[in-house]
Amino acid sequence: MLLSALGQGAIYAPMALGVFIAFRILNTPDLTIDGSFVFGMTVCAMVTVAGHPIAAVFAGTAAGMIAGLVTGILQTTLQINAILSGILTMTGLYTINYMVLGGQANLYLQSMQTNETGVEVPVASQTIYKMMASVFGSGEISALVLSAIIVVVVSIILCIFFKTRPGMAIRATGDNEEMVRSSSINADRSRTFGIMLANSLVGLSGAMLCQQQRYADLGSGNGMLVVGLASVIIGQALFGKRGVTIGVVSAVVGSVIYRIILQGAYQIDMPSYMVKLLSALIVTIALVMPLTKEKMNTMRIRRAGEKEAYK
Amino acid sequence: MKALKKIFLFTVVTALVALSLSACGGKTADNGAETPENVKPKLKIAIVQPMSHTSLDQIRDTIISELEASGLNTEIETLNANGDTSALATILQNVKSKGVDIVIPIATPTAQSAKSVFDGDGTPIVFAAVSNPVAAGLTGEDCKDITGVSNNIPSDEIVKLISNFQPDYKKIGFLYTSSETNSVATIAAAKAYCDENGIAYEESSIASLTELQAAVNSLLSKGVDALYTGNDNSIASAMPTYTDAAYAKKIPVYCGADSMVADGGFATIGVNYVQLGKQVAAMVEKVAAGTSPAEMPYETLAEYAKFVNLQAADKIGFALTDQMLEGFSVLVEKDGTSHFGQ
Repeated sequence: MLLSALGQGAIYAPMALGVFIAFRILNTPDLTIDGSFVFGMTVCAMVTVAGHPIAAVFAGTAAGMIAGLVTGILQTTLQINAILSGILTMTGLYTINYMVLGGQANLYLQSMQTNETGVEVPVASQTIYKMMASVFGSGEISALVLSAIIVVVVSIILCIFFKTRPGMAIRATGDNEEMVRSSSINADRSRTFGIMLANSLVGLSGAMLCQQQRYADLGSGNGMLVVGLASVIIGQALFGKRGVTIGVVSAVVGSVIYRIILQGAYQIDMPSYMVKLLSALIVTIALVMPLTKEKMNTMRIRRAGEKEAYK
Repeated sequence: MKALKKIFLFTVVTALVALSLSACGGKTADNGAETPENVKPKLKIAIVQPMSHTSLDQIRDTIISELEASGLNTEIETLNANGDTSALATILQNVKSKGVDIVIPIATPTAQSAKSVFDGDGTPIVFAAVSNPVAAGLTGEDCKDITGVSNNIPSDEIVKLISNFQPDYKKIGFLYTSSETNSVATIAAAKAYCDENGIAYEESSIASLTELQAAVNSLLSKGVDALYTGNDNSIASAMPTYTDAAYAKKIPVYCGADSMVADGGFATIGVNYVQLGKQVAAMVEKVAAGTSPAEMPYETLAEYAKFVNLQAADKIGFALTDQMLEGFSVLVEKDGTSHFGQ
């Protein structure tokens, strides 16, 4: 029960990290995410069907990166508004994704092969999750372990990267672009690179989901950005706004908690159409939490002050 | 430590919100009286749908009423992802962890998610409304526990439907939502049939409903005599927009589902969702009686639904002869009285 929520949370964690980089570090509302998630998924599906499951995960990541590059160019070189750039890329990606899947909306990870009697039969493709299961025994645990390993590795790489020069440049660009421009760092390049990094993570997430559920579907990206934002906001409510390392951890934890809450919501006996309202309320609560804390602090200080005054 | 405290607080608050929402009503359809002699364990059945709309709801409701009428001692849970595909896996995993005897996923992605979640653990899966089970990966070696009912419609039937009402038609206009697997598959097969038989056609696909009106008008401007849309969930939810644009030019809208005719379409040969639901329920009863899904290949519809909407015929100025109406049931009368769902 908790295992499956953890597994789902881990699969969507790179996507939450991508949202975190775009929204928190770069301060850019990037709407490419709904499209790049599916792009990572469709490219991964095609490479998986061709028989290269491990390469497929990297291909999906690269696909997300290309989507980010397009949005970055629209934003910087062509000076198009950030929100609009993302929408344009996302809209264009719909057609691209459709074409990648060979003009269909849904692709199951299988290929037609001739069996010993000479008949063409569909054979399920190998995926990284199946490889893992064949080594460590089947089940949710091996899938969770594999997703967790990927997420941990990616998180460590990210934390280290943001301490390096180019990583610092991206953070600085998000913090104060004017200052960065005046200090001879190429802000456009940093911004584009940041958006590419964010979307490559989103593409990785799409690729992981594709291999775990064994099919690619064009509808999979719907509302992905909202899920990512909810994860980031929940993480932030718990850990506060601190350094990048804490931020990376909080996005991952937020993603897992979001899934646990969602699972809980479907678990209790409430009509499933109520879940949407519930997730809206959860995000609202998470957003209000820091404010209430501040209010309570001021109240405490004020009371202490009043006590002092009446002494 | 501080973070832990926060997590605890946060979870408590959320749980409270969830509980207060859950007071809005349960969702378990329960039958079989709770009497002491009723000791046979209940058969737990979960019906999972990706979103709500007329035909999907009709399938669900038919399955429920058929199973209730069958006298099986069942506990049926209905679940709905409300269009959030990422929730499908969560819902199905919940169902799995609660324990379930038979799963009924409606539509292609739901069935595929069910396959990956249950992963051959022996839980029977009886899908409903998957148009191409082979392409969807539901018929391979690793699908011993999976069977169901496909909602595929033979293309020649579609062309017959149009020539029945318009013997001298010249060109068909196909309209579909490009992200809907079922709809795309129906149209692709129909186009192949038209190519083979030298029938002229135009096609237009939309990515979202905002493009519907423009797509209809562009097809009309290309001089089509008839419009056809298969069982397309998205377009089905916007039939008035579709038919208003078409009927203004006196062009009929043929569609792939009776629910779409009830919402304004002219005529259909299509999936009779009640029939589909009945076939699914019959399969579930067989599974409950001990037949393994491996022994049951997936079924196609035993009979198609043929419906006509006389109010729509009036709007486009068609005079329908008795010969044309043979084999058709009137779903909507001239004055707009609907017999849908009766």
